[in-house]
Amino acid sequence: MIYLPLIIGLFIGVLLRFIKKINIIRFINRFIMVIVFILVLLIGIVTGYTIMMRLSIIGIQTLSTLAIELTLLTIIPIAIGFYISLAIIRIGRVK
Amino acid sequence: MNRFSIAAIFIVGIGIGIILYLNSIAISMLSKVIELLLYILITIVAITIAYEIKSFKEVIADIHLSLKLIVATILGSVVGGVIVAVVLHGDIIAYLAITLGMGWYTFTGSYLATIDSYLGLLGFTVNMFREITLIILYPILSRKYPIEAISIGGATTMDTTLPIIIRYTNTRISTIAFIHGLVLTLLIPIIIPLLL
Repeated sequence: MIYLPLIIGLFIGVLLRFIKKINIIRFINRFIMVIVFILVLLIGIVTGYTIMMRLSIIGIQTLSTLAIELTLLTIIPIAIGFYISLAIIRIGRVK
Repeated sequence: MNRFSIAAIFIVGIGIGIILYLNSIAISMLSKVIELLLYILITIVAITIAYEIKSFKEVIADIHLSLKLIVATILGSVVGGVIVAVVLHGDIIAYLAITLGMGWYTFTGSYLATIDSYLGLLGFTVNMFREITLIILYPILSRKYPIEAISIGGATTMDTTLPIIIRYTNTRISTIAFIHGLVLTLLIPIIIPLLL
């Protein structure tokens, strides 16, 4: 499903290249700003709900074990991935 | 919208979600709205990419950066999963399956839940936190590391976190992020079932 809007968008974008008189990028940037605002708020609401729902299922006892696992499994792969990308991309730039 | 307001809006959203604690019908409707907005956004992003990119060569020119980022994201997830398993004396395969979800929480959570509900919970939450981490950190990290910080988002850089990347960078970096997310999204459903 995700590919359909992508293909439609690419097609419209190519068509718009022929109508250079309209500066669509200005409109698009404002539109993106509004959508991002709504989207982030909605994702936050769903996340808040999910957190509450999951907490009510597992109970408080296993919470500390879960918190440690969640923290480590989130932070360590992200940090290592970021530092590897930093190393790989910087090495590419140095040459 | 400044760099911290995205994180602030997100935190306000979480607060609303916790306080209101909506029923499941309302949440599924909200999820549909999010999906619809995402499709609109992807269409707009695709329009921008097709409108602004001068030629196909320009897309290909940065593909090596996308590939490097993909390697870094996968390596980070593998090494991270192994380290956590060693530290917590846990099941390496299970932890690897969780970390190799690389942000795609709907797939990882539901797939792991078919094996074990606790693993499903971990798979869902860890990967959701990956998305949240990008939403909060990217506006700050994009000043110095706009390309490198893409790896934080994993597979989500193709859809849910792409708006954040677009907001703080340009078409070139958005294209790199999109290819990075697209390839990871194609790889995750192959890697995780192979592991388990």
